Amino acid sequence: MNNVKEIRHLIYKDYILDLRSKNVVVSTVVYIFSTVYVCYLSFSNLESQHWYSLFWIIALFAVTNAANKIFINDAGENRIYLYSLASPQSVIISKLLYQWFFSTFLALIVWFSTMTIFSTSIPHQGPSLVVVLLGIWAISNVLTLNNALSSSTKNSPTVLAILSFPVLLPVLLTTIKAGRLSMLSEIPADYYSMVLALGLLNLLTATLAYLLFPYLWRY
Amino acid sequence: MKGIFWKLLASLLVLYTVLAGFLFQVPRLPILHETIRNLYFHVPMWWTMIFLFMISFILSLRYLSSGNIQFDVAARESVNIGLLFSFLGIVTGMIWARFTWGDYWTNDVHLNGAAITILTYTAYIILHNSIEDEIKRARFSAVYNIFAFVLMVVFIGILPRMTDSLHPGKGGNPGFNQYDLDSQMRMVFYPAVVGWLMTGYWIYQLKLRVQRLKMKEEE
Repeated sequence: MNNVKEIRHLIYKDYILDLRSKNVVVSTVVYIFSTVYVCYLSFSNLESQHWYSLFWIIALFAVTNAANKIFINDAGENRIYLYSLASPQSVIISKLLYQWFFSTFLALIVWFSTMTIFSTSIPHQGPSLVVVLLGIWAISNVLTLNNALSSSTKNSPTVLAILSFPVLLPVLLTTIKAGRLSMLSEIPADYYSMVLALGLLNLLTATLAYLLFPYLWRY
Repeated sequence: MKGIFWKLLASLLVLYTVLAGFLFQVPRLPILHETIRNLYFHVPMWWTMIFLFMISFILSLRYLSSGNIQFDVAARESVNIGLLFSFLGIVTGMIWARFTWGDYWTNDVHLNGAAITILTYTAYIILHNSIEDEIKRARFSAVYNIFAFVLMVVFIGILPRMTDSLHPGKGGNPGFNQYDLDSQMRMVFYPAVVGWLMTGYWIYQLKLRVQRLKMKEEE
């Protein structure tokens, strides 16, 4: 019970900090819009399969960019203060949950803006969105743990990208595969097993982050 | 000299494989022809790489449970040697692919898996190099090593089941069992694997001893 309260407070803290520095959030959103527009100008006409890959590339870079700030407010003295207040388990759960909300928000922006501007039509919105959400959550789990690692290095944005991309590649391959199935006019049976695989990937990455994070936090 | 027996055995086995690999009879098969001999050189590289990465995974686990810095030094050295073997594996594979598939690189699950593995462990080395503090470096890179290794094993288990592959032994392409009519290739292949595993471990030990001496000198 105590833990739940702790997690709630920690999420609220992250939310308040984001509200105070709206600049960071808004700049991420603008970054997305300008990337989408650059892609629109350079591709103009895309088949829906290629459009889907492009969507994931934009979403991946947007989320990675945003992930650089996960642990930025908890460095130095703030970290020691937080360490004395909360257990590492609550910290990682709150970070994972908050990052889920935030990446979902970003992914939906990318999804709807690319769909509008490229005027793509998708037969089944529901199943496609399920894949998008599951994929983006798995990505945000990996990025959260890796940002905890990279935040204390010198060139952290680059290190975050090199640490995460190789690990994320298989996640992306699975997601793109599942997503392409979800965009067919009739949903094949394979789709459900792919969704299950994505769900398991989420569970696995979150569990690994939960188990390994206390070792980082102790320092 | 410690362990002279197995070191001598390793040298003899590798020497035998090189000689026998080039001189012994091999099955004559269309497309493959003489390139089938690559089996003796290409496959043992990957076995040795996986063996060394497993050693580093276990060492990282032991580091996190004990906090002894020696485990971290050893984990890093085994990744270094594992990377050396992965480069050799990639190069032998690429030369082979040029003569059988007609290209140095194709979009194939096996090749993607190899590329992901190399990128992941290079990222590990970069992370290890970019943190100044000794204990922090050890702890962070151990966490990344465990995270990456677990995910890699899962993906190498999942991915090949999702797609077909051109690679021998996978996706309807005949493996080594079908090529080998009189078991003659086994007489070279198994000694090659054992010989290279031992040689890899030997190089790793030498590297580790040099590193320990360097550390002593610094103190």
